[in-house]
Amino acid sequence: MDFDNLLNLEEQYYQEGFLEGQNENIKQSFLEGKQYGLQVGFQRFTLLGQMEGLCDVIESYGLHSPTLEKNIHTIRTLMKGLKMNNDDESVMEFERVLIKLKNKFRTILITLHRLVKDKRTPTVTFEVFEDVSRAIAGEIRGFVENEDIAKNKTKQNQAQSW
Amino acid sequence: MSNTWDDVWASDSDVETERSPDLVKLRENHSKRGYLDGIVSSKEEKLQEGFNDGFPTGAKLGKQVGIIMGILLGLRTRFGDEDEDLSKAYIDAQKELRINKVLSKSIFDPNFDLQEKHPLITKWTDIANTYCEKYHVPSIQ
Repeated sequence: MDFDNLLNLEEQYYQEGFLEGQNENIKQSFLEGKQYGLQVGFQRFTLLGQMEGLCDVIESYGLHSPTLEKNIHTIRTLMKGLKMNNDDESVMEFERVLIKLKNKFRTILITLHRLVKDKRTPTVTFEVFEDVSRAIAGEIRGFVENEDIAKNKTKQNQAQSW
Repeated sequence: MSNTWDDVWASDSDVETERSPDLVKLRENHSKRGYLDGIVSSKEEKLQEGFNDGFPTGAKLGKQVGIIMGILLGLRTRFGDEDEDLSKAYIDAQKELRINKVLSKSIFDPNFDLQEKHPLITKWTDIANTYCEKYHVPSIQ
């Protein structure tokens, strides 16, 4: 009986401390995580925005190429399917679709280069295109670009980063 | 019975409990451990919650910036040789729309929410749209 009471006291004191510790950092930790989420979200979607913007410009060139138009349509369709949140499913979908988008977009730029008759007219290379994204958003930490997504799941997990 | 146990049974009040040196020490030790565990547990959980809360806004802003840069890059590549203002706009946009500028704390409220439209993105959307109009590209919405 005496021990029961003593253990109850220990648990009571522990819980009091636990709750105090939790409350202390709840707001601060949430906001730290939020700030980091803003950054990673920004980085992930900058390149996609660039693709969309550049496709609009290329389309306005009036090159009348069915191949180009089809590929641009594919890019837009793939992008419409992407969700802007960080649950497991969305992260995996993002990784999968990003690879497709990059490959398709490379094709578009190569086609564009071929179609522009005046060779003195400059066209964008994919490398220059990616350099712009890096200049704006910086490198995305931990991104692994390959087809084997299952083995390289890169869900942005906050605990791993701290 | 010892004085310690007399205190335990004599009263349930905290005042009485706190008088016992043994119980004071017991409380300090267990409270401290609970406190530290509480900090750790809430940190991991809340960091992830906050991350998930901030990500969609960051994604939206990143995409908007990307669209602006994509358009300016495409136009500058094609027309930059003869349009100095366009070339300069492209260079300036790259400087002003960097992630550290766009996500500057001064633009967000203490909860890292945007209360109004983003000033830099609004500015550069307007600028990009003037070139879109000039070169017959659909304007940014």
